[in-house]
Amino acid sequence: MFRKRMVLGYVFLLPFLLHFSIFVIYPFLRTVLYALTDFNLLTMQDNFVWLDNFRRLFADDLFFRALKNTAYYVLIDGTGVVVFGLLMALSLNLKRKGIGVFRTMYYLPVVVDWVIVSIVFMFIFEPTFGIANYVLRTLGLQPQQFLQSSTQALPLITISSIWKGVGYYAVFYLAALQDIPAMLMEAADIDGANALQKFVYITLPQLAPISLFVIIMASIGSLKGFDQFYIMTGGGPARSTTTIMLYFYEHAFGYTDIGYGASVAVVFTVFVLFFVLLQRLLLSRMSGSSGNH
Amino acid sequence: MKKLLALTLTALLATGLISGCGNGGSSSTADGNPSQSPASSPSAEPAPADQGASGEKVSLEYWIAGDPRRTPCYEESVADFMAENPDIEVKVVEEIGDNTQIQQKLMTMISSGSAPGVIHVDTMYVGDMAKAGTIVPLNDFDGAQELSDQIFPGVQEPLVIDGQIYGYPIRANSIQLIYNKKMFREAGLDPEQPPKTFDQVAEYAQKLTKTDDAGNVLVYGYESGMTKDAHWTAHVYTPILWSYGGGYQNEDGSSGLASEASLKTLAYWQRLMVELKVSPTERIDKGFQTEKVAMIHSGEWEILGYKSDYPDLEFGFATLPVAAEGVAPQIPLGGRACVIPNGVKETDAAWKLIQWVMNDEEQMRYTSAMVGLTAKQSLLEDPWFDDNPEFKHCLNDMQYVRAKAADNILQMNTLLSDAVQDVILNGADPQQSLDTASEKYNGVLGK
Repeated sequence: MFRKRMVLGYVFLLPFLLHFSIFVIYPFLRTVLYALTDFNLLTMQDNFVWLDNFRRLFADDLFFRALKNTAYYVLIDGTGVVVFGLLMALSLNLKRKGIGVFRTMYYLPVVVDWVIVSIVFMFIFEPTFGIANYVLRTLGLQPQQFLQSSTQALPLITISSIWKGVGYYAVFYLAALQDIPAMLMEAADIDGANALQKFVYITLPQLAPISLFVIIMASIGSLKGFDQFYIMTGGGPARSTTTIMLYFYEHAFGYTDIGYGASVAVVFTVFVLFFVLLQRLLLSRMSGSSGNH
Repeated sequence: MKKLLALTLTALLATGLISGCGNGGSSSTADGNPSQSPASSPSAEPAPADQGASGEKVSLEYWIAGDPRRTPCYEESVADFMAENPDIEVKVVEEIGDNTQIQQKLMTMISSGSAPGVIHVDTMYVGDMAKAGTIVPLNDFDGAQELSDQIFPGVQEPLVIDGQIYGYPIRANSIQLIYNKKMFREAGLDPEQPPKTFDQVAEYAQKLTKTDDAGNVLVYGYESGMTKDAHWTAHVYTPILWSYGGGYQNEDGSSGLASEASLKTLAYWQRLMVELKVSPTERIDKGFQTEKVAMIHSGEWEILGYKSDYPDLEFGFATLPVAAEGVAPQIPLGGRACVIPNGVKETDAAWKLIQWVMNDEEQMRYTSAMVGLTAKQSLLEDPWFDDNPEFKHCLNDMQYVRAKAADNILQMNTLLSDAVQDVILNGADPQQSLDTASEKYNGVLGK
């Protein structure tokens, strides 16, 4: 009887396992295999070069530059969407007339495609004829180079990403906020807790599990950051916005150097693996200590 | 146990993130494994005629580099071809995607034996495709050499590899200096005398640039064309480099990126964009059409849009300026070529189609519809050009065109563009930046 139910369980799992093996496991193994070759899509050469690609990679200053840019982006964008997402959720959780309108409004950037968002930001931050510099000039301030400056481009794209992504994470927080049992708040009121105390001792601990989810999703989202960089700056100026994804794309599909591109992907996967495991370990300990779920 | 499971799942989730991105490359090339592909054995001989006699229809696909503006014209042309050749049925496929994607698709189709009959590819890839055996030589077809001889030599040259003709230009272009005649008059310049040398460009650009009292630029006199797209930055850098006597590779094949000519080119750009500030450091979208820029580098493909959307725009076309008076201009080639992929069975029908789209009437059909300029030298005499002097000018300039040939050209474009951005935007030392780029390019070249 028990065996039969086991088999049935696996039968139900089968569609997912098939999909997962074909579209995730197989391509990944294939990518590892490609990383050991000099496979080029245009010249069609394909020989085993074993670890040559990795040797080249670790001697490549641009790869480390891209890693650094990605780390910056993940850290700032990840923190940004979590913090502002929570703040937004808190304000959207207020029982006010017409709050639905605001909820829709703040969610809109999430729905709009990155291509459109990028083009709008490029218009705003165009150095000579853009609106941002027009405003600065009107205020008597020095116009800026924005996306054409090696120091400003990455922060600007990060800000645009936070702006676009924050609504998405706010929805999770909003749902979690509405799940907090009202009786906890009532009990705190009776005990004479003020708003700050209620937030620190009730709301935050109650949000811990969803925060774990949001932080992991946000980091994975920013690790994959590609469209906005590709469209707004193409990785420039002077490589200041080249992320790992962009760097990988440049080699694998720009130069059709699949072998080298695959080695970038493999090394990056290892990095991400460590990062996500570490994050999970730390966060689950933190949320575990708050004693719920 | 539960913790272990959770950790494993997290690890798999992270793996999925990466392999998802590698997917495009790995899955589609799995079919195009070179060791099994017929591409590794290029057949120099066209397959025997396989149509007509039995009255059976031969069908083939024609992949065009189309867009909403071009496709209808190519389709009409193919419809006329089918009317003339009732035994051949051609299916026009509008190719969407860049060259890499086309190449991937092509490899897959070749190995499954269903390659299209004729395709348009970017001229600069024909050499690589010929060497990889993805396309076939055309010399043995009737009239192949004669057709080749009708094309401007600089345009046809990159399509001939080791004496074998691999394709013909369906359309070609020579980049130009396009300038606004009205703005020239307003600045006190003669609209019929565009700048001929780099010094004149700087001089004219200063006169055409307008600033407000605070020194903010209102109108740029010139746009160098430097942009975040490395390919285009290199494309507009090239003629200046050539004019100063430089090239991307030295005679021994090593990098020429840090040559004296390259330094002079960069110095010229520094003068225009950093010192004089008469050119923006990024292309301004529709800047020329809206009169925010007085001179730009572009080509004949702009004309249709100018005439239909900006009827009041008074523009002129001028041959690219050079380093000093008396130096012949050298213009980098752009455009698409018709080629026949390896493994196509209906080669005779495919060749008929190539002959059709390359004949004088069809070439003039595309040219006069402004969907792509011909590269046939003989068509300069066509009366249509008398009413369209800008087109005539562009076609005539194809005598100066040559292919922007360099090994690993895509990497070269990026290395060069990185160096240029570092100097122009970050104020880095030109010699040092070009040395770094050159060193890396030598690494790519294995020198």
